[in-house]
Amino acid sequence: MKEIIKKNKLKNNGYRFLSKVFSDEIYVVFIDNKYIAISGFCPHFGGPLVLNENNEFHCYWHDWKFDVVEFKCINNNYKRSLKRYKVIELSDSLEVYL
Amino acid sequence: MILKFKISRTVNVSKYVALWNTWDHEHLPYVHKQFGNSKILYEDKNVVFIETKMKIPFTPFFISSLHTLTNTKDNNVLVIDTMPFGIIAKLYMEYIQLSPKKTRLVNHYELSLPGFFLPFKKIIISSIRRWNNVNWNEDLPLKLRRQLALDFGFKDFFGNDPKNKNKPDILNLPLPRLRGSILNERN
Repeated sequence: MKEIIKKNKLKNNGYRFLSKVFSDEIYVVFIDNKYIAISGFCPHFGGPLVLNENNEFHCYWHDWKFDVVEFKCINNNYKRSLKRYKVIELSDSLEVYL
Repeated sequence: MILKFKISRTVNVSKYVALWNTWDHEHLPYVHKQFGNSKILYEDKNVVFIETKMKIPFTPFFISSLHTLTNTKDNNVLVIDTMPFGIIAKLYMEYIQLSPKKTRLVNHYELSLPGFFLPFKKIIISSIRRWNNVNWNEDLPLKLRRQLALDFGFKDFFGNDPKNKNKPDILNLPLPRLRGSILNERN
């Protein structure tokens, strides 16, 4: 199962879309010369994770923040990582896999 | 003097989602400009006593307020607040589920005010309506997104209701939260 996304859909703070394939909201960002795809639902209560100016995934509902390396919560005692998707870069598109 | 009035609104979410938003006290300081930090003084499965910092309208100042919320027998919410100048505000929040994803929220206000507030009756009602409107608009994206997330099979960090995983329409109180939650400082 995969989703294909055109690269030109990505804006500065990424691109999010609802995926029926994965039954999830997928959020794709470009950081440190690579594409990263995560579930856009904050694991707390489902708020919107957004890449902020400090290169953290941030949910404004309850101020939860996650790092972009290990995808761990950095300001709350929450142990699990964010749900990630594999990304394969093609010339003008991205393939996203679970 | 008793002042009674209603504010009624409809939202495209289930009663479960609408109630979740009311009982999620952790979002107050992050989502609502009118609230500073909140702290839970006491809570159990039917009641919460919560201290909030509330902004005084038209000023940059915040004052401490005590709110009590009760989960009523009919699965609605009764809020009783004591306010400056001897005002007691009673608010019965009635959640009427019109369809699986449509809920009407009727706020029944009953304010007990000292008689000298009589000339300000209209201003008080209009201020509360405005306050309610601001809160509603700030909360609306949360409710709609939460409904969307649940529709997509999203499970909360605590896994929703373990007895009813596919249909999370039972709200167990208090909502689970982490040990380091900002609400826990007084506990």
